[in-house]
Amino acid sequence: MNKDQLLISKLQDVNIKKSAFSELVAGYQERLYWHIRKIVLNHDDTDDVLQNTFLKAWKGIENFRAESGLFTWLYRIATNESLTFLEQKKRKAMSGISEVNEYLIENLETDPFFDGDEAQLKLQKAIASLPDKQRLVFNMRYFDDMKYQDMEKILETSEGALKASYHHAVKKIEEHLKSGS
Amino acid sequence: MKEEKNIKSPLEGLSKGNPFKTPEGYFENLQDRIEANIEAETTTVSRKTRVIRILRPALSLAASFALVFLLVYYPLNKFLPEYLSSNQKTEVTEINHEEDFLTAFMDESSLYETLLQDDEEPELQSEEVYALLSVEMTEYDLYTELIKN
Repeated sequence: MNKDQLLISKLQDVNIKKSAFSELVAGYQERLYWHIRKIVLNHDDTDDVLQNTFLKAWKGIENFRAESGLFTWLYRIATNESLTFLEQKKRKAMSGISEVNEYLIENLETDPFFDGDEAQLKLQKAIASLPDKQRLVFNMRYFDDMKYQDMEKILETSEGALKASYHHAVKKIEEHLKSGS
Repeated sequence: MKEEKNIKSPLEGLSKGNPFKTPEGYFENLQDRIEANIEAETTTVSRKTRVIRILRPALSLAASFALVFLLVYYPLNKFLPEYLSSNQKTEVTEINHEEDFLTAFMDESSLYETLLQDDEEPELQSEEVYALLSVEMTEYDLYTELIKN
């Protein structure tokens, strides 16, 4: 039994679920934070989504089947929660924001916890202008060096489709950076 | 074609470093906040479950009554409206019978008199009131005098 399987069996035991969950949070909180942060960009939004992610994990752990690893399962929850959050923000937005991308760019410009230089801000704006799927694939591949096989499980998309998404994303970002907008 | 490939991608010159930061000490208490949030959520859910468990018998009883009412009254009202209206008429007649029974032993004038008798009070003339007030009397004397009249 590997480390993940051991943790899963502890999480599904009602008597030690709490302490096992603390172990899970300690092991994944930072990785999940950065994964979510790259999707929603703003720190406060990330904090909300992260809380929801762990809450969903807590509620769903009894039904978790170990076919996919803990890492894949948590990343999938975090990704879905982030996209749902952005969709809700778009719907609730009173400032006439029609697209998620506009909300993200606004977030970048107003986020006091963005510490990058001008070139990085430009890159992030280019990423924010991509469609959801391409944005996710680009972030996971470019910044996290994640393998396509792992991405395949998290995003439930074929490797071919993921490679195509990455390729399109890179092209669009390059164009965006060249155009200087 | 070769030339195209040799053109440097604008991405190559960029840093892959993380441009984002968090508030100071954010990760230090993050675990506590996550666990507190889960604890709060679990408590709220169990409280809700408890209330539902307490109310369940009453709710099922109410639902059964509503169901029986719907199953009986609605089809009757829909398919046999005459039957329902005739039932209502019978009730009214029964009440009328009851009233008849109560008034059977007296005629109208004696009933009117009986009703008036209770409300009638002796009228006091203004001179009498003045005379009564001008005499030095205790409250008790005043009361007995009024009773006599």
